[in-house]
Amino acid sequence: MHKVHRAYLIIIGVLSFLGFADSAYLTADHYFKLPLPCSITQGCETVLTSPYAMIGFLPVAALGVAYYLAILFITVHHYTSEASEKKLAWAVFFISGAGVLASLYFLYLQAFVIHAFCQYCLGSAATSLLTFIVSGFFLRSFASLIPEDVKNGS
Amino acid sequence: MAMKNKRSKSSSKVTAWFVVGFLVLGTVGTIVAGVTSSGAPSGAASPAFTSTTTSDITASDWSQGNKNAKVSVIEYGDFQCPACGAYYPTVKKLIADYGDRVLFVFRNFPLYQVHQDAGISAQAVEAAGLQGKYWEMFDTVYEKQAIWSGASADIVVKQYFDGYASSIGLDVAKFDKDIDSNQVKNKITADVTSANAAQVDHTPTFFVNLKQISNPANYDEFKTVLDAALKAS
Repeated sequence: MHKVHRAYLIIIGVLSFLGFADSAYLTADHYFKLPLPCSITQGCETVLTSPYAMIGFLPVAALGVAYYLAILFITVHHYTSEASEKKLAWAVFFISGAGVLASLYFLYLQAFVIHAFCQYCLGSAATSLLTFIVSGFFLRSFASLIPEDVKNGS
Repeated sequence: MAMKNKRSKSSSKVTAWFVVGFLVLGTVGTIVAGVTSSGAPSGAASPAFTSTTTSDITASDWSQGNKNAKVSVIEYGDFQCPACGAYYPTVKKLIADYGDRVLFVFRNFPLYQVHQDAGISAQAVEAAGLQGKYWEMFDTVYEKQAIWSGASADIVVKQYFDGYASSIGLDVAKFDKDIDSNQVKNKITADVTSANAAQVDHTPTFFVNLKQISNPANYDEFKTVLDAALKAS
């Protein structure tokens, strides 16, 4: 594997690990903490205890954990495989793209519906956006570094 | 040589998975340990009472229980606040369990800037009170908090509160008129004024015998505070 690819994979791995730690914290907060009082100085608790913090019976944070773990596992698998695989890079690109769309929706909810921002949720939006951007560059690098991949398509 | 190379590659593969797995599990462990220890009850030794006090209970307050009880509990709440909704079953159980030993009072502290329906839901419950069904509406609005909370303030009455009013036997036309009445709005303003005077900045905020307590973590902690207050009286 090209060392540039290794660098991309490490960056994506670190980002998804950060995102994982962030949403794992929010999930633990959801399950183990009492609902903190609603406060005039709004913020995280307002967002996390709003009806939008749940999708069905699952907290959004738990979905975040699954999302970041999926990216992390794909990335580690990719890193430990012998060659660069464009389809794995595409997988991360699509998953993080979906994450960016979800983040945009949650940003909209925070700004216009809940009227409160949760810094951990903003952090997660940032990590998924960065992951998406880095995975875009990663995909592009296949064209310049391994032309045969492009020739074969994948 | 090739075999050795292969072996070292597969062992570095195992190492990479091991490191990542260790990081992931370590993070989970650290977070769970951190969150549970900080969320655990701070112990009976910590003072339940803070230095803040609130105004006396008057005839205009909505109350349940015995007006001559030695112990009173005042809750400042917001019907759209999820934490108030989470405390509601606890409070209801306390009212039932303590019966005439305690007087329970609810005062409005709608967090207008955080909850779009905070004001209108308080008005709806007060309006039901004008027809003598304050606590019926109080129960209904808290029990169905998750259902109406998402609705915007201009449709929440028609879409939900009118139905609740009718289900508890209110005259819906009068209810609709009372919601916007000055009587209802003035009562809420008076509650908010008393909350501000008592430096209430979050909901729910509880006062036992007019002294603010830090929010109990569960029913048993609340019970400990009330039992101590009863014993001292």
